[in-house]
Amino acid sequence: MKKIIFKLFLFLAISFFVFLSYLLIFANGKADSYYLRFTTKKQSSLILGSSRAAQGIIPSVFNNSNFYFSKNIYNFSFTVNDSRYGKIYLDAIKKKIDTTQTNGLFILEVNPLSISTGLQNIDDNPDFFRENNNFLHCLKNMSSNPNFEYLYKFMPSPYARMVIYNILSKFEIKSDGWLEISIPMDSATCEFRKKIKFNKYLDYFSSNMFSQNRLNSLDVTIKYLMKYGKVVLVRLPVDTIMLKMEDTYMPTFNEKMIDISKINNVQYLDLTPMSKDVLTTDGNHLWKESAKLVSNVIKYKLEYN
Amino acid sequence: MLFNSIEFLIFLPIVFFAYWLFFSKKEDRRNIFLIAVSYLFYGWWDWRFLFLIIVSSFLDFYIGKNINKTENPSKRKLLLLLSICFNIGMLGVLKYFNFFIAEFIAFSNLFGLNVNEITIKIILPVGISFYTFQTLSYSIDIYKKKIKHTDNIFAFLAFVSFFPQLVAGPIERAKSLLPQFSQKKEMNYPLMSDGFRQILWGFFKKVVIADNLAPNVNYIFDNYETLPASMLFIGILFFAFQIYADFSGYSDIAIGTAKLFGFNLMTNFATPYFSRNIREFWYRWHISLSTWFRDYVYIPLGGSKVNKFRQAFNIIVTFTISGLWHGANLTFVIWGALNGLYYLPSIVLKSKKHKNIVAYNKIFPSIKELFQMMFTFLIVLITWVFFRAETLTDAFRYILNMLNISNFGNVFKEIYLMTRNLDYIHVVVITIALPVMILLEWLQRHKKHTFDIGNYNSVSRWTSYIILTTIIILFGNFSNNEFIYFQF
Repeated sequence: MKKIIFKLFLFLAISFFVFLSYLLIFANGKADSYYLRFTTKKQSSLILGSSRAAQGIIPSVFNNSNFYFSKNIYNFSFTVNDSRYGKIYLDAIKKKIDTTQTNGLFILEVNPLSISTGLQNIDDNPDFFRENNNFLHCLKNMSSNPNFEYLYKFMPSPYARMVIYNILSKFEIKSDGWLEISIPMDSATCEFRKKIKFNKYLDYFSSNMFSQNRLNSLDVTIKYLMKYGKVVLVRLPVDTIMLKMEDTYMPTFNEKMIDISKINNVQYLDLTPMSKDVLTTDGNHLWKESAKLVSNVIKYKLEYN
Repeated sequence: MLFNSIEFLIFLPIVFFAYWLFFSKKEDRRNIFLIAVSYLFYGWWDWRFLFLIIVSSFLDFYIGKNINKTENPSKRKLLLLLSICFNIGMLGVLKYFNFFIAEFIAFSNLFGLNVNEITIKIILPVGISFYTFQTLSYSIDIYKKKIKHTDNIFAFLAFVSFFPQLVAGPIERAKSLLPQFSQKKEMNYPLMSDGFRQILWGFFKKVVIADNLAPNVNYIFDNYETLPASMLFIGILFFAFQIYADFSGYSDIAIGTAKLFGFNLMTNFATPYFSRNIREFWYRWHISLSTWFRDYVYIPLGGSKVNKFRQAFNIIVTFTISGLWHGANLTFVIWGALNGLYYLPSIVLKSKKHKNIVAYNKIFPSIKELFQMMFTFLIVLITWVFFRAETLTDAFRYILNMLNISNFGNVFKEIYLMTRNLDYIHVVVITIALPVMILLEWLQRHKKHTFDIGNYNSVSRWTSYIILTTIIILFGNFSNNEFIYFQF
């Protein structure tokens, strides 16, 4: 029995060591577009919102300067489907936030879809929000490296794909949570991507409606984060065609944001007037150089307003 | 509980250590423990169906006992009929009721009779086709005086429910497995190591080969009407390896797990795709089932001790029933009948039975053997279309489209399109891993199983373990894919 136990233990230990080494080398920001965000420690300052914020607000712009705000800010934004404002996202934020600090900064990216729900959810019932069974809801641990829970439940197997992604991937989550996308920006390719994205958003807009429950959740999120620092709402610039589509879908969006910011006494930065001055990769997400510009504008506005 | 689940990875070591530390010494304690963990293993899927196993086990235990007690032929026959009626009846209702009703209605409609459709919602209990055949063989063997009944109810319940082979075989015979539950058990290190190696190889076949082939096969079969002939050929080629890797992988894990507990189960697959004719193929494919049908259907029908015409009839009937055993669908019936037809030339031509594995004691086969293997594999491929297709119409159209050479298509372009629709990683894994599996199975074809490397030195063995484990972890598809044969 001793021999069996010893050999079994040896086998498991070596296998685990090999797997762990593999993870430490390849389970990085290129392996998966979310994984790295669940491997970093709890954060005192966060950038929150959809993929617009994930790609469009660069933490290093704030962290690598003499910004009045000295704490490191971390990008904890996901996608328009996974991280709309609601209980699930707020619970995830609660797991990621360092509650021992009270002087943080929280940049909440907002857009019409982040306070919307599907048309089929006729009663605007949070029980039917689409993120209810996603990784933000299911993950218990959001700050361990390696995060075996995420790897087991959400990293699609085979895990060998991490090696291929490390070589071929066009995206990379940086250590500060920013999602850097490196794709060709010639006009023909961009126009092609925009066409696809506009069609996708037309579908979104025709299958979604404003959700009072999500707006209330945004309010709850703001109030919760205010306990730990300064909160600011930001509407990011997008392609002018996308902006027109959004304004048609929810013409009162800005008023809603102004109201909620006034109630909570927080700043609301509507950066959509910059839409004609920025480049997007697909009409929806800022190109990394434009993201730098927009992040600097946010930093400037926070410093001087 | 699935072998390829996290639950099983926790379950197995706990049961293993508890068994050897606390229960292995005394026979009854050991068997009660095995019954309990086997029921837990089965009940993890759906505990309500446990009662079927329990009822079937008790019934055959008492029938076996009473057949053995009496010498009255009619009483013995009556008891055997009771066992057959109960087991086949249970299988018939739960597995075939809707199928036969639907076929009866379709047949009646042919003659203009309007029969109201009656279907009932039935959940097919996992493994029912396997354990009913196992208990049935016990009663039949006692009736035929091939074995004696057992008086030990715990040994018998453990024999029926033994968790490694409960849900998908190998379908064991009482003669070889039942006495093992009454034997003294001591830790047998070489047997356990061998079991461990066989489990590893089984996992490789299941999660690396079968589960990476599955998405590609599904894609091709779902889109067969729009894909060119070349892709349809790739689709059926992939399915042939998927079903082999899936089912033989399961058998390897089952046999290996049994070895960890000191039990020897029968070999279920012996490199069947290296067969030189269809007869040899059926000696190497799902051996526990084909021998079951040979002993309990083919031989009672007269077997080979009748004229050639009758023998051919017996073969067709046996294979057709074997097809029906796989599922309540005409596709399986045709699959079985087609295999029976393939088998006939070996009867007519009186082809000799191959005693040795192909290219025995050689590395390469002769040109003749190579052509024989390729031909056998090709005709087996055609049968797999019926096995995989949803309906007979799909199967025939798939074959017709596959044979339409004028629409051969550009293979590389089509594979590229498939990887864009699916996940290219599966194709990458298969491109590397499938040839490796075939090569290793060829090189090790004379061994009991492919990863039988007990005679290697410890450095080579341990290096192989770690490499294979790493391959399983990194290249395995862990999407909790069920084993194909669970549905049977």
